[in-house]
Amino acid sequence: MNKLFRPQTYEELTSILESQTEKYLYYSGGTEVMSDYRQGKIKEKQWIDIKHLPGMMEQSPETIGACVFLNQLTQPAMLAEVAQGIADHTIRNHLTIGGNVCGKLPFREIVLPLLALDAEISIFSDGEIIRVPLKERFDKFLKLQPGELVTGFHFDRTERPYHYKRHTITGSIDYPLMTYLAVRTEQGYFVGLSGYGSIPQFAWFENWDVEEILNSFKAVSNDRGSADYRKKLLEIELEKGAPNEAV
Amino acid sequence: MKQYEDHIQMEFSLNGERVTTRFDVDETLLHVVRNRIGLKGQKGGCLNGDCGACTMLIDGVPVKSCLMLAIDAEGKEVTTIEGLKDTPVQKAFVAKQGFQCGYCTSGFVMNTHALLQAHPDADEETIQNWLSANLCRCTGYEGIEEAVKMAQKNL
Repeated sequence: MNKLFRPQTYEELTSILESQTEKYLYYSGGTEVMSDYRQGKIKEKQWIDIKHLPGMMEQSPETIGACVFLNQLTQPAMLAEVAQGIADHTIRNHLTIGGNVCGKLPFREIVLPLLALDAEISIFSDGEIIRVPLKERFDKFLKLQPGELVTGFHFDRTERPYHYKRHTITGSIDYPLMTYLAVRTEQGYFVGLSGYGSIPQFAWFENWDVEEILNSFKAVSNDRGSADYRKKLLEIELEKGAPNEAV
Repeated sequence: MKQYEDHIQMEFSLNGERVTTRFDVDETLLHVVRNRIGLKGQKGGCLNGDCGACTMLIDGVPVKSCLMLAIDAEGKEVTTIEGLKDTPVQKAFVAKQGFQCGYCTSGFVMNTHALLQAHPDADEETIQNWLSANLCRCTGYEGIEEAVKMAQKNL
């Protein structure tokens, strides 16, 4: 990298994007980017620092800016608890919610509570900010067109009953063998998993039918654990019951 | 709009003093503090955000300086181990021998200092949560834990 832009407005960002002749990279917290850059995995010479754009650090009752750090997430409880499971405390002081959703690592655990909360996502696209349901854009990973930029997340912070469990193989600071989040929703139940397959998996169910839920997800075998082991972990979590009690 | 290219000169606050230094736009804060300014207290370990040896405080908040561009320190107060003088945390680490080879120590001290500033009455869970961000490859965790508890009492 030999050039860093720091736009303060979306007009400035538009101007930068229109003048670009080579590939560029959006940068904010840096926790994933800097490690990849040191290892020579990032070739873009021009980086755009997005955290000074309006709204990126916003924390209002219904909106969280994309550059808010994971340690700053406090409500609702399920969002805060899932955030606290990611990386370590110091990293969470500069790992952003947008970075976790958009990063290259496949786990993207913060997506699970956002989907359960039926969150909408703001995206800077073609010079304007559009707002769409997250579930319309998230399929294995967040589907963004070239130049598009996530600016924030919008959801109702009302607390909902949930069960959360993060299984790892070495201790609390590790990638998940299986992160499990089950949430009571107005229509039934949301179940989301990270680490269970090669991508985050999630689905909504009308009833708490353990067999139906178990068969809705595909477990992967890798050096962290076998598919059978993961499936057994999920079965154990599901058999603890539906998340019907308020937290 | 601000934009930075190749080499930049920046002034920022380091351990309470204004410093001006010149560095490449892609340099990490760790690299600038150690190799441009010459304060070697914070160590480069994994350079991957895992070990915590490089932990510095930015406006009092611990961050892994190996993962932070130096340019992001603009307008911030940066604190390294050289900025802590005879704090209860340092004294406790000496008293309880909260170190073995010492390579990780400055990172642990910085994080513990920030923890006790933010949560003077931190419970066991909070201490574990914060300090699990630092690794001691000598596995001297018992001494470190005793040092943290002693520092907490002596605040």
